[in-house]
Amino acid sequence: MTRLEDFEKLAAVARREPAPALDVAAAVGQRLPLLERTRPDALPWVAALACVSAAAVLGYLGLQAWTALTDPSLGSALSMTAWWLL
Amino acid sequence: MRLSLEGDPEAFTGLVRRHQAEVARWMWRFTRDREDHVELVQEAFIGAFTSLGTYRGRGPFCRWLRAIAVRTGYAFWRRRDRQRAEPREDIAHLLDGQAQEDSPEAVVTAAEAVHETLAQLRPRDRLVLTLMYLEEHSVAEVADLTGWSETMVKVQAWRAKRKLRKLLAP
Repeated sequence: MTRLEDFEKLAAVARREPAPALDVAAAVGQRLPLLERTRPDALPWVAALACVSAAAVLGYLGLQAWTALTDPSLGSALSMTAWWLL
Repeated sequence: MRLSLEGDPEAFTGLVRRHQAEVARWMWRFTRDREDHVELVQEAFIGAFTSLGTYRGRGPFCRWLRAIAVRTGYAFWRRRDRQRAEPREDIAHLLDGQAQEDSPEAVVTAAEAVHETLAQLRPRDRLVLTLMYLEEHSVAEVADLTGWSETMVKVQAWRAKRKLRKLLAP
């Protein structure tokens, strides 16, 4: 018999060990009011939308600044396009 | 159940009373220290309460709670992994003389030997072997409990058994 098989047989015996009895209901009950329950999935979506919107606005402002410094006529066309996309 | 899902602490405390014996049994696989055990059981329920929004009611509540408990125990091992003692060189000898008897003392001794052997492994290896050997979970059940893919569970189990074999080699 291999050592691994010895271990597996021992694990089969160990499986039967009962756990110590506990009563944690009162302790858990005391901790619950201090917690905030996570909301259902709305929050991650709201956060993602806020990030995308912020990135879009910053991108638009960056584009405005860049084109104002380089080619104002090009800037005007690009700005119109970006504004339309936003 | 409905009140608990709405975040009513008193209703949730009722759920705790109903499931604490089972959670205590699960968390006993993650530690043999009584104080840590109490803390882990509480943490599992606290984790369940803060995650109630993710329970969709599609399967039994107990199965969902079990996954929370497993992840709580795994996080505990990962925190403690940094403080893991140096590997014991005589670990293979833990199995020597361990008779497969049915007496309560023999069961406790066997459990201590198995726990101490598995504690020599990294948390990920330890988790998959604990779930497969001590809880007799299938690959699919381990995947469900851990959130890993079945392929990952199979690969992890194969690697963990290889490390265990090496650990047990005389």
